[in-house]
Amino acid sequence: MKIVVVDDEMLALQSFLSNIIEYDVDYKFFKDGNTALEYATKNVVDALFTDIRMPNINGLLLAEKFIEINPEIPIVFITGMPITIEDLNDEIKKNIIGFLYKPYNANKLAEFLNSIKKRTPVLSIKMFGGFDCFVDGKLVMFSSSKSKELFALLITYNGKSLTMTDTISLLWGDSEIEKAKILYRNAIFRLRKTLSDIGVNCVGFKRAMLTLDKTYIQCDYWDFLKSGEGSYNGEFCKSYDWSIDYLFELDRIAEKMKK
Amino acid sequence: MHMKNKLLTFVLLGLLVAGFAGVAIQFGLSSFGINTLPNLAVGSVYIAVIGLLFFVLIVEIVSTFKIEDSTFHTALLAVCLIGLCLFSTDMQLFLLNFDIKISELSFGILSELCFLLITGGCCWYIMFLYNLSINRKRIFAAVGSIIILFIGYSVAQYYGYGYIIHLILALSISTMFYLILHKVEKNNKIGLTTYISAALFCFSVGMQNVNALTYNGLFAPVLGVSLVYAVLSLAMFAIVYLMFTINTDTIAVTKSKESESFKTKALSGQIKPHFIFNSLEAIRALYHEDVATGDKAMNLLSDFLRKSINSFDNDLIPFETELDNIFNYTEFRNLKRQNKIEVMFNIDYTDFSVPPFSIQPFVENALKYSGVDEMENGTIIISSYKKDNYVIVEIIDNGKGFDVSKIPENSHGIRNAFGRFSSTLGIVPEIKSTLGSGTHVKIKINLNKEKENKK
Repeated sequence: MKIVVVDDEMLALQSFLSNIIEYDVDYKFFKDGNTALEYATKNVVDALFTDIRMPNINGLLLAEKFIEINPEIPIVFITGMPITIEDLNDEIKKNIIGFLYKPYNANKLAEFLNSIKKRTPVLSIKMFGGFDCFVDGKLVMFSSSKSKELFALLITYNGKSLTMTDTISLLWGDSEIEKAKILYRNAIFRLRKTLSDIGVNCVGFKRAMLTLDKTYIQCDYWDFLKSGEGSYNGEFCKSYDWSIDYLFELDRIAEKMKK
Repeated sequence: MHMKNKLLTFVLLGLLVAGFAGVAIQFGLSSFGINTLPNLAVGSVYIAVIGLLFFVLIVEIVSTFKIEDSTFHTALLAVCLIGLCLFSTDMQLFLLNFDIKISELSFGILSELCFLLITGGCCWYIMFLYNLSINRKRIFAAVGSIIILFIGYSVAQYYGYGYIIHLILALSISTMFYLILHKVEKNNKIGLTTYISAALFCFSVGMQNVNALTYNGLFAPVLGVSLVYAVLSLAMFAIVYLMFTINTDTIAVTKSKESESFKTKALSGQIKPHFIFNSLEAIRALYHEDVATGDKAMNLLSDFLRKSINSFDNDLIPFETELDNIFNYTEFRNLKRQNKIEVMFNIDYTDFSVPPFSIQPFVENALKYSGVDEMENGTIIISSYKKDNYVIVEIIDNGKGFDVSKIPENSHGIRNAFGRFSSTLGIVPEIKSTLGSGTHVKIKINLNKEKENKK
């Protein structure tokens, strides 16, 4: 995928984009809109990232010209201060994927790239050994350890809804019930926020039940349960006490596979 | 005394007087032997009045098709009251003069229907105003009492004591109206109901009493006099409606000016240079420690600042966005400082809106003035849950508390939040603080009114 990037203040942007190497994107940087336009007439361009305030040709005009060449081209505006979408021309409105504000946010960029490629991010979950999640190869940082543990528990339920009572007894068994309920809701809030930041809104919470949307999630534990294939070596979510209950079944499947 | 209350008092008084004036009119006319009003194109006026009433009702129904809307209630009540005036015995006999024969039974039924609708409408409106959920028990109680009253009246009428029931009914409906007005005044929300209902109702109560007393022998009836009451009621309706419209326009203009000035103050208060430079330095230090942490802090601060600058375009934002503001602020603070504050989001309900940066200042307050910022085991719990027709938002901390009567001079964030809660949602947050054990802020938002404000 080839993306044209136009900004008269190039340095910071160059360094930011060059650090994001995992998305298989080829960036072409231009300081001047007219040069970028010339390039676009001779080459296939899959998307345009442009600043708005620039000397020779401003970003809005540039966007219009790129759309003349390729009417479907997705456009992302890079800007410091926001501009309301209503102020823009109707012609460019439908091409706009979004606004990437400075200072840049890597999660936002990932969201835009996925949107341009028309793909949804894939969440890979590793339960054998310690519990960890990766979105498009990048490790997911949870906002609290309990929210991470809650997610692990929900994953082991393999699509079945998780009730408040079950969760509290497993994760906050030592706490007094009213306090536990607060901690429970806090963990849910933080978990859903983390997932929303990476663009994978797979956890639902309604009427004190947690639900999981399994699409776009890849999990080594689920695969192992289904086909017996996988790298199970005796350890499963090793930092969580409740994980012990699952070891028996996993060992049994591993034994069966050996034969 | 508040201008609106003066107006209200004036209207109420004026119409009670008019009600008693009705007595005088009847008495006077009958003592002069006048027992029917002259024919002054009366037939057409009669038709015009009824036509206009139903037109108004239909317009109200079409424009505000929400049963909870107070305007709809009022229009319904107004129409029924005027209907009560017109479907009375004296009008029936009056029309006979013009060879318009309408059976006593149909008139009787129509007037009783209006009466039932008024009583039912009052009950419904009271439940709406006091935020009582309309459950089966209450509907049963309301319908039951109306039926009992109706039966009682019919029986009493049969035995010739109808006028007593009239008087009792007039008294009980006046009580209901007192409840309505009292609640409305307490909320400082002068709706259309306050004016029109008060005006029309007192007048009709007066008239009902007069009619009751007439038909049970105290005065000789004057045929067609109910028409006078109906026309006067309609005139009152029109005058009050006009005054209300003028009044609400003034209120709307003042409120928008108020909220503009709160907005600009909030905006300048949020972009505190001290906070910004402090934060930038913290970010620099974090980057030297570890790039990932630096990035995280950078993202939190820029999202927080960006939302600070953009939010003030709207009077209300979704509660979830306000939670983001609190999250950004507290997470950033925890990255900066050594002593971590445990912030718990005890969130059970989010389907409502609040003014931007109206709750975050209370969290900031907990840190600064309740001393949570310096504590080793500081906790702040932000809760939101639904209760009946309200959503309750609470901010509870375990700080050292402070004297609530002296909200610190520097915390214009809090003052501003109070101001914007008051001008956009008409509510006042409650703060309870115990020295030595902590602070509890409680904000109660009425979901019905919140939806009305969003329009």
